[in-house]
Amino acid sequence: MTTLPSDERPAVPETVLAAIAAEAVLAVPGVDRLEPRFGALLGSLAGSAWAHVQPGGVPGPTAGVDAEVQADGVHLGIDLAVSGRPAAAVAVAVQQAVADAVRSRTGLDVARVTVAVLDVDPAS
Amino acid sequence: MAMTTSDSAEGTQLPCGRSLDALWAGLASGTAAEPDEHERTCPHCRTARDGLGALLGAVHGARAERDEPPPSSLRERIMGAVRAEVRRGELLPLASTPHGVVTISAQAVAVVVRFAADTVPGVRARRCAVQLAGEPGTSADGVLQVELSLVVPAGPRPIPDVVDDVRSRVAGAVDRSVGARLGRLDVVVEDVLDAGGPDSTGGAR
Repeated sequence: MTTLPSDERPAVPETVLAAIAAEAVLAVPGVDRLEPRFGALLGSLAGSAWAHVQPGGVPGPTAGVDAEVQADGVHLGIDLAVSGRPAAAVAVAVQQAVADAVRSRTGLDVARVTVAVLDVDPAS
Repeated sequence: MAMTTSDSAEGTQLPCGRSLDALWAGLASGTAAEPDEHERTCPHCRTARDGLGALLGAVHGARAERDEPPPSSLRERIMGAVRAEVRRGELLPLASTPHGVVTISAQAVAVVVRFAADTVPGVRARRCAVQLAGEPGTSADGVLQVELSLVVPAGPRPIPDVVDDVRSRVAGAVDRSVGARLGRLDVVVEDVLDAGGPDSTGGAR
């Protein structure tokens, strides 16, 4: 296990970690979509950020992923919707996929991946 | 078909039975600027009101700045974000792995339960409350306890048979869609509906 020296900035910004995680999440079978965080949408609507709200636009690709670098490694929180497979199994697969992707592409330790399933397609 | 009706109605309905769309309409038009008695005490309505109010404020501020109406997709995004926010309010632990905990929205499970109950001919699910069968962080994770109220069809089928069908459909759906075990299902038969009677629109009134 490697830890960053305290005087060193993390080499990978949290937005990039979130993007790597989001890509891994969406590739897991049974994941329908990420569920954007409320705060992220509120932020995107505030003031001059209005220009980024495009007609027909969709939430940014990392909305629904929260990435934080802490002393013991990367902490990731993922909110998603599931369809066609048991939610519990999909969520556990997401944990593994995200931890693997972030670790292999950044070299950073992944301390925690929590997953919240906010929506399940009842017809599947 | 009944399934699609309750499915689409579910999309904008809060766990207390209030409609998110109605809340939005009242806030956006200013006709419901103050919360009513229910909204003052209901945690779901309070979360939704606070969220919609904050987003409306942001939209109005941005509109004044840019002098243009919000795109129509924005309403959907706002409703989606507020719905998700309400659903974050009640997360049940499903599993715990070395990576961390996996949770599911109690409301998302309720949608699965109601949908499954509605697949029994003539049955209409009404209220549904989902909770963990035991203490969080124990072996009870992933075992759910559900309370469901129903409208059942008028004879000739005995009501216990109908309820048995509901029970097995719900258990199957919870296993298949959620990946959890139905530890306990309490069914309350609230009403009997005549076959060929007026089409119920489902949901709470």
